[in-house]
Amino acid sequence: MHNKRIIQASKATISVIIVALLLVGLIFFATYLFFGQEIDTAVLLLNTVSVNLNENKEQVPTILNEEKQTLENYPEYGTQYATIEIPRINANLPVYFGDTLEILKKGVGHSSGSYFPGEGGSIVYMGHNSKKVFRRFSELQIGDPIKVTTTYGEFNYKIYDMQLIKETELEKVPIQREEEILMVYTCYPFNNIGYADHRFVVYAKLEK
Amino acid sequence: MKIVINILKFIVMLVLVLCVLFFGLKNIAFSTILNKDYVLNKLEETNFYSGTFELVKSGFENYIAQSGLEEEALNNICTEEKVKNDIGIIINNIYNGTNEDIDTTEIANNLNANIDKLNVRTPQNQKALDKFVDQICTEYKDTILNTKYENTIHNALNKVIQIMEKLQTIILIVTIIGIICIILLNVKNIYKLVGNIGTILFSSSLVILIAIKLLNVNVNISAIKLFNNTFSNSIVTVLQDIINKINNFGLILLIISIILIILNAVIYILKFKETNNKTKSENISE
Repeated sequence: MHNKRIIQASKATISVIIVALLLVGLIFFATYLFFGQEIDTAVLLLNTVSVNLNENKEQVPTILNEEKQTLENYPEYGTQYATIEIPRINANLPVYFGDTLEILKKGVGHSSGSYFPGEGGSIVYMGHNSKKVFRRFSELQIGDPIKVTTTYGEFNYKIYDMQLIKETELEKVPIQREEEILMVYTCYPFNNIGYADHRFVVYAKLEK
Repeated sequence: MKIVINILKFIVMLVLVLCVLFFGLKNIAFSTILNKDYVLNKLEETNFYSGTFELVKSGFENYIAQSGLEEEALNNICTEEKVKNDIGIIINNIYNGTNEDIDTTEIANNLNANIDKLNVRTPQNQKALDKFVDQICTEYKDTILNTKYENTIHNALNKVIQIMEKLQTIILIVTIIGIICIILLNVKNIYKLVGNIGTILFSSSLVILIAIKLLNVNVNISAIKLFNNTFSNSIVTVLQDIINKINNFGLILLIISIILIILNAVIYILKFKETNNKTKSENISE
């Protein structure tokens, strides 16, 4: 008799749970059927703004594949990967991958749309015209050497041209991959006060 | 006939589950993201004002190097109090639709006064200095996230609130009808009502808990990055708080439903005993 009562109660409980699970299944099925696309878009959107900064990630060394003229394991954005040395103006500055104002506060920035030293294309570097960076750019002369020492090799360039351009004249710093050209620019006038809307560009070719 | 009643019960329970979910989620939304005071509290709690003030200062410093001016030019051109007030204006624009502009005259005046103290202003560089001051004011507005979309966000929020309030009335009526229906469908065995309510709450809790689990598996909320670290930190805190509130609501429903399901089982045992005693006494009298 006691067992029968237990069985009866268990049956009632199981039926409650089964009906509940059916309801849950039906709700999820209907939700996915009617709003599946919207849910997928929302998840995708959230994942796009969800950045996993794996701080413990091991830094993989950057290697230059000389045959293909491409880098393997590009430096991480915002990190220093090189130093630039310009003996005539006594400059020895760190080069960071990226060109935000935050990066330029620390040293020389590498425009993320340009190539890296050794890749055989246009390399665009920029720095402030402050005393700590490129204030003495006006002293540079055609033929002056520029040495870039990266984590994967050393590259020597020679200045062959210098130009004064407007900040909007992007065609004067063209991105190409026919010849390795280093373009370094800073704001002009060098000792300006206020907002500078001109840039002084130095063009240097890779020494064979 | 029994099958028809069971199907009807299932449909009514499904509707009631949706009603429970709506009321729960609506209350959470109205007490969190749709509540201006809640948002202001969270901004205070996550040090949003001081964080934004630091970002403003850092943003100004980024411009000083290219300006050729000494860093003293930026001394006290902006205060944390101003940042807090201006963020308050933005929140008001969003929640109350005040449409008030952020005034950067104070920053421009302070900056111009500092530049004058440095004694570098000449007729030749006046234009460049004016442009620099404008740039600093724009940088300030960008950093405190002052956008032209505040009014659009306010209109969207208003629309959501209006729709939810209208839905609330409709769903309240549906809920009352649903409760009456479920009582009528159980009128012969009124004790089964406990089991049905248990089923409704159990389903609601499962939907919530499974949905939260799925969200946590598919999206890393704590890693969300929007605009800047200070804003991201506040957004993540708000989102996690909302998720926790929904999760707690699900857990409360689960506990209540388990109690009701146990009660249902106890009623069955008692009912079975009663029926048996009745049968026994009938047999004896025969």
